[in-house]
Amino acid sequence: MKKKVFYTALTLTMVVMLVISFSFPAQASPVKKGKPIVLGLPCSFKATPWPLGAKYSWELAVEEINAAGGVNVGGVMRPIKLVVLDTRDEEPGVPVSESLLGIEKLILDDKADILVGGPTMSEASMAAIDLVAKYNIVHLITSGTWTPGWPKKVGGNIKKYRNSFKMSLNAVVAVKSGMELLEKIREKLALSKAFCIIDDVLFCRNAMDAFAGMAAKKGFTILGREAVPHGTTDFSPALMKAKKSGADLLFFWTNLATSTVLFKQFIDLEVPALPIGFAAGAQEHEVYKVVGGKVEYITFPNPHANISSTKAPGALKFQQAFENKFGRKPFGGSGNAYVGAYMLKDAIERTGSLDTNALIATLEKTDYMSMNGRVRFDENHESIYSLYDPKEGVVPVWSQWQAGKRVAIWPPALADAEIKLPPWMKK
Amino acid sequence: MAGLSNGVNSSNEHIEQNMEVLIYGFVRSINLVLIAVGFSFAYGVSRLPNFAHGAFYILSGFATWIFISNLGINYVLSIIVSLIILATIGAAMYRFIFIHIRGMEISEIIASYALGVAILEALRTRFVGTGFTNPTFIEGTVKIAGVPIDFQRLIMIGAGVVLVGMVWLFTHYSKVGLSMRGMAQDERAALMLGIDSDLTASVALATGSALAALAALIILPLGNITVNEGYEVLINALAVCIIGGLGSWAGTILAAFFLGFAGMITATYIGSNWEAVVTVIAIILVLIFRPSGLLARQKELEERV
Amino acid sequence: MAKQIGTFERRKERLDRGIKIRTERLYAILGWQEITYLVMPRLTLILGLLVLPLILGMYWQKVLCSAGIFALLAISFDFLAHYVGLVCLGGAFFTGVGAYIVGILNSSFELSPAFTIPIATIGGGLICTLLLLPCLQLRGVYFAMVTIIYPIAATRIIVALNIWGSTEGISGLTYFPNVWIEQYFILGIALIVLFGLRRLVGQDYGIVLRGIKDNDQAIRASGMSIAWYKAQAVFIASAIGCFAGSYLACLYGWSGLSSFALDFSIIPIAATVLGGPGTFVGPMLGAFILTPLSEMLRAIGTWRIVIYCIILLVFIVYKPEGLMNWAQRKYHQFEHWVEV
Repeated sequence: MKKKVFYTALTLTMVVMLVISFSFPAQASPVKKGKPIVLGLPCSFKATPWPLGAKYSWELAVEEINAAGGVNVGGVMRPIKLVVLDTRDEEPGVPVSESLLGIEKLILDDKADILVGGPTMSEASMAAIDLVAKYNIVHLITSGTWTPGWPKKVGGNIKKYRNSFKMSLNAVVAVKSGMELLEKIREKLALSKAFCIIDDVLFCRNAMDAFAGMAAKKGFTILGREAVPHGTTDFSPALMKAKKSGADLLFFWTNLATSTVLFKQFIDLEVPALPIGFAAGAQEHEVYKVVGGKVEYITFPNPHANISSTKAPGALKFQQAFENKFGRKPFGGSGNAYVGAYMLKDAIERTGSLDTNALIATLEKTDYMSMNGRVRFDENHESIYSLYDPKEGVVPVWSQWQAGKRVAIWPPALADAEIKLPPWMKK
Repeated sequence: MAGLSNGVNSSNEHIEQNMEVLIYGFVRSINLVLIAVGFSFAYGVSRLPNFAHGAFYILSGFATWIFISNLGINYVLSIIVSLIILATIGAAMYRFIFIHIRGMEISEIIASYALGVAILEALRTRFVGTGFTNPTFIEGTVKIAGVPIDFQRLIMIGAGVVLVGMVWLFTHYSKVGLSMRGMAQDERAALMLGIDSDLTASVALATGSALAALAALIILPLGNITVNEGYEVLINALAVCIIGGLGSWAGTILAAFFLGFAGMITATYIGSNWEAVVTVIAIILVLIFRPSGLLARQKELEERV
Repeated sequence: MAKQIGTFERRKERLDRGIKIRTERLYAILGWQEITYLVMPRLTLILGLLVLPLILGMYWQKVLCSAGIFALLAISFDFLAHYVGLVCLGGAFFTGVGAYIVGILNSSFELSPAFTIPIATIGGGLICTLLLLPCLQLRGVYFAMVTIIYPIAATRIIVALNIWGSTEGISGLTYFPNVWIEQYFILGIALIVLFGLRRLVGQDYGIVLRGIKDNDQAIRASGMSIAWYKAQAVFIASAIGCFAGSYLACLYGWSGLSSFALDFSIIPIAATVLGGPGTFVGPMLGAFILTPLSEMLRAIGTWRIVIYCIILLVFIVYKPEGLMNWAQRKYHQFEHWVEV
């Protein structure tokens, strides 16, 4: 009896595994004329919404491009075949070597021509820089990897690492843009004392140090800094310290999705400060439901205009198309991914071929006007950002939750509304 | 560190900070007690190491979430149903898995750990992202000695105390409880007295799982339900049980308070990022000086730690 | 079936095959048949492994290296669990220590893999043994419980102290000179460790270790120090684990927090249980089955962990002997039904 059970269980498992592994085709678009361009998309879309947003955007963009005929490579219209691979880099407990092996699979097994999209986790992306250099394949990151270590590494040895390009935001730039916003707030609302709460992760600490450094120079007072352990679900000690310190600005920078608790507790404890900063949870539209509406007044970078602003040209159309296809408003890393896809198409068409070296040369000279601003790459192969002017560079946008909606409030060129203070601050 | 805004109020603030540490430290300790009690029960009373403890914890959270948010069932009913489901799963785990490997501790550990990881990872595929919380029982905050504390946490404290008391009474005064303790002390003797080993063990595991579920339902409304929490819970439960000594009620509670306060004090006075270091040092110190735990009772040579 | 008076039962009886008996001890070299019988399985394994890199495509070669790493981790787990009675559920600790040592030495001191790997192996082994010393007095459950915590604690401490690249890790390490070295190095070491350990446990040393597992008071009564032997065993196992970790760091040119990942603890356990605990070949075989399987199942993402765990569960409950033990039994013995 025991044996029978064992063998049946084993056979069943084997059959199930075989069926599953053969019934999951890689993402494919219908093949039209010309050999498809294989774009490998390594990202950890099952773990957190950020890379999922990027994946969705890429799928949307590829679908649109293919429907319009594909990419014109040296006279031949070629469709794009998007191969998505779950690199699991955002999952804790998964070694980066797993993600790297996945990327190698895309390169060696799926014969990707170009790698796009991710990985979004900085640790994996940093390691991938060496990998793509080894295989001499162009790697365009469009979401995640906000660490300033990336441009440092690529820029530090640009000859070796020329294959790597990054369009996603840089933590330091986000903070700088936030500083501009804060100065405006100080001007209009007289708030200048800040308390910082961050997730105990390297890039959050870097962001906090950058902010504190800049803030101090500009005359803001930093009343305290708290680093809470990664993954904590209790921010009350930190929040209470903030409340007691008399700060009127609450600067936060947390990564994990559980940080939505931070907002809930912020409102529960009625901390009289304006919350401004980055938290992975804040961008999602669903957050509102999750914390029972307790996410008002949170001000955060929704880094790309096309997610929340209505002023950026083409943004509304993108938001509509996204919602039509996926049933949710754009979220996570979806903004730049969409722009990146079209930018890449443009770059390939200008190069006229898929040759890596030629493509790198073209990418370096990119000057592409998009709904997020003007896309150009600097000497570290990172996007050039402008804090105010979409005509100069990509503009990081800050939004605030107001009445259940994410509203763009900064910079003025792309803002839809003014910033609001929590009512319990007006004492 | 938090600066003091003006010197006049500094002594007041010190007192307030200490009160905070006291109260929130207490809260954390009860949190740990709730988490550890299920694991300690199953192991201390029936020698069954249930390494799927964390998985059951999160499973009950998500199950309740499905009932409440997806199916719109009444909260109280959802809780009851979740408890029943988890208890059933616990008993089933015994009946289908543990029963074959009873007595072989290594296999028991690996098997239950595997089951736990399987459950957690399966949940991970279904529940992506932040969007999962259970509503709190009562909204609102109250101030105790100048420290704001929300009702949910107060409920947690009450529940913790009540639960521990009830479990103690159960194992010391009820027939089933006493038979369980008998099984743990000397299986042969218990068998001779007509106590059914398998049934007792099933009940023990079912109760342990239900306790885990209950803990989850009380604690999870404080934040999100995430899969990683499952691993955290397992580790915390293990830490508490190791330091306190398995099989000793008082030890578990003592260890929970020790860790809870140590963590809170570290977080407040030194820095939150040092909490982990303190926990590890605590475990290692206990292992060096009192390897069987702070208050463990060593009976015979075979049960030696 | 006609009803018979009295109770008759059918039972399986296992007898050694004739050839096995003929190959006991010295008689093994009496004839070609005997020699083949003994040598064949081992030869198939060695030759098979050595030939694989030549026939696999580039991507699968990488998978082979990965499988080799897990094979080593699995052998290390098996050694500790079944020959010394210490179930180490935190094998990732060894991997992490090895990877970080290589990372630090390579990035700060520019030492090449030829130096960093041996240093990581021996040094890492020493460090891990030292850190595990307080736990050695524990048995079974307790040791298992504590070892789960070790890798996680290590990651937390690294983040708390903000050292060694913290959450971003150390990247840009020196790779192996070429693909062939990558593969033959790991396969070679795996085979050496495999046969070396088998030899070791066959000696008196192995008897002492097994004694510690079964009845340590008896060992103590014989005047031998349990702690010393346990420490040695942990050193061996952790050195193997650290080697695997350091190899991994050189393979991908990176080491970081995820060198302590859960995967490195669980997959070796699954491989051991699947392959056959107690034989070192079993874990190796298990690793070589599970790793390619996981690559093939990539499409289903996290479900593959669920599947590993279910396989692990099914095997541990219903077939704890694992594949290799079953295979060895079939090879050495034959069974038939007898009436009792």
